[in-house]
Amino acid sequence: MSDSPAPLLRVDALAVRYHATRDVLQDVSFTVEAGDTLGICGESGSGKSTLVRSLLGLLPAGRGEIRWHGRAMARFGRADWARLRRGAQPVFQDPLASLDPRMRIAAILAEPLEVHRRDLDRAAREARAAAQLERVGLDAGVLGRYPHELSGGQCQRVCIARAMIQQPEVLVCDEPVSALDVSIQAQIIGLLERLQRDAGTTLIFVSHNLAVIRRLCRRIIVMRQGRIVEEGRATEVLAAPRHEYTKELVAAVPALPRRGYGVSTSSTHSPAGPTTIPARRPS
Amino acid sequence: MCSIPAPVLELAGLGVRFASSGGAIAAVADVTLTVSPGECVGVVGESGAGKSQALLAPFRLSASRAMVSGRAAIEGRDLLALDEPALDRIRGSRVGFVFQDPMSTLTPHLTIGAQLAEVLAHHGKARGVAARHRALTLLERVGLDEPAHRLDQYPHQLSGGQRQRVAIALAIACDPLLLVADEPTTALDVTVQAEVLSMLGALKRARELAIVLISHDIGVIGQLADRVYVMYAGRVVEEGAVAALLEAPAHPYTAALLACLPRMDDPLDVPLASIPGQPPDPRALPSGCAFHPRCPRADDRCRTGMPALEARGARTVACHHPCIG
Repeated sequence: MSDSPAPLLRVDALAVRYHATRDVLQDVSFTVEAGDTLGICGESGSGKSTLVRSLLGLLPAGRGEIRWHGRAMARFGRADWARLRRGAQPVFQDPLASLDPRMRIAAILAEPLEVHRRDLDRAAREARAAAQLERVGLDAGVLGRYPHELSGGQCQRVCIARAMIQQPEVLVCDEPVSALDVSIQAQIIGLLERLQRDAGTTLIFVSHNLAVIRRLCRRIIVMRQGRIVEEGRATEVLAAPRHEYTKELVAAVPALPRRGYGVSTSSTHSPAGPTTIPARRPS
Repeated sequence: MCSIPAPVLELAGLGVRFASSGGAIAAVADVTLTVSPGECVGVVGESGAGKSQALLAPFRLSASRAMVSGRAAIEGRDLLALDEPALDRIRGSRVGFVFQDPMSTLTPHLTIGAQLAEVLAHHGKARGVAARHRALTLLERVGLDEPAHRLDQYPHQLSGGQRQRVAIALAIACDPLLLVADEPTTALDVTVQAEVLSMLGALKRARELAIVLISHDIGVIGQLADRVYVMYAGRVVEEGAVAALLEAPAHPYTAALLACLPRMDDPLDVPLASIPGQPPDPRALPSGCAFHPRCPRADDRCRTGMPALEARGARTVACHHPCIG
């Protein structure tokens, strides 16, 4: 039992307090195994973003313990920090704010490789950047552009490409689709689904949108006022919530009529992927 | 059938254009929209679809350089012909407005009571003690807890949901016929959003209040609206009763918008549908139907000819190949 390897991430009784009086996180404990997908949901002020920042070491350490690969962050040495900085890649809500406005996309993508992969020469770095760009569905034409010349959805793809180019163990996304239009949101969800499936990257995904979490995550944590009120398999928790607050959250999701119109049968598949738009009758 | 009541708001062939160095940009083109007394009309579309411009520019609440053409009338009065003082008597009095961010609607250094009193006095509805009494009633009507206590509080002392309730109280202070709500719940938590939508529904029923609900979220529209207009690239592409439209969308864009919204009852083995590409830049609209580059049903006819908005049964749709007969 004790010889089983340490999980990728173990959070034990984490508590974070701002201004000496306000408890933002209290007694938060959970484990993430490598390759798993964890959704963290809750409303504003529930502590989701504080939790994410704590995991990434972007906040002063709170009480309790965060262990990556069994090593406590409080005792991290230089090499541990370097491993975390490369291995845990964040994607935030506002993609434009996450990209340096004075750098071209090519430089934005190459920068992490210059830091973490000194073994690669310039040509190899550029080849990787171009390949990664293709993987997130952008063409090489954007390499010479600046962030402000791209749409919000394109910028978010660049952010995801920059995160994935370092072949991270875990992608930590904080509301990555909340600022995007519905049609673009679906594209990014599809992209994250595909990347997770292909690369097996662990996903920690913070969102207030339960339907998005249900689609992307195997497990879910429901937070309220800094505490975990419910956790479990996402499909089970959302289909039959036990905690009153989770029930409230699920009930508040605007209901839409069931999809009734030709839900992607193989005959209506377009080469671009499944669609629920019925194909036109030949005239 | 009995006579149809005169519409509260009527837009006909409305255009909103902005001058730019490369010539005029049409943000809204040929929008025709009516709102009947006591009806909630939803306007849905993605960013840049022109939904806010179409509803705000006729009230001169858009940028001052917006060039508005066509017809816009409130209770039969031509809005575009009114001078500023006449328009001022309509805005905030006959028509109330609620926006996404209540903090930018509320004055930070005035108490809630003072702000409500100001609106009531400006439109000559009430002053002094009468205004305070009226303000109290309004806060009760929008479901704010401890209304008497709230009157003396400042906006920063309230939560986002409480502030939006105050903003709605301000908008309905003068008993308007019409409330224009532009993304009123977008900045709110889902549970608060559900409360605010149900409160708006109660106001609509109790006061015969007509509402225009502008939202990017078709799920939100479905909660409150009776009828919905779907906008794409500055134009209305589909209009119809909300339940029927959500059940069986006629325009491929509406169908795609509904298809790519993740739902709580989706089967997880079927990948989420998505619309390729992105909404078009109004400075460079595609030829023909503006949706054709993203549409799985498009053919040559769609690339060259813009489809007219036509009635198909109880639905209006602008498409050469609609999804319903």
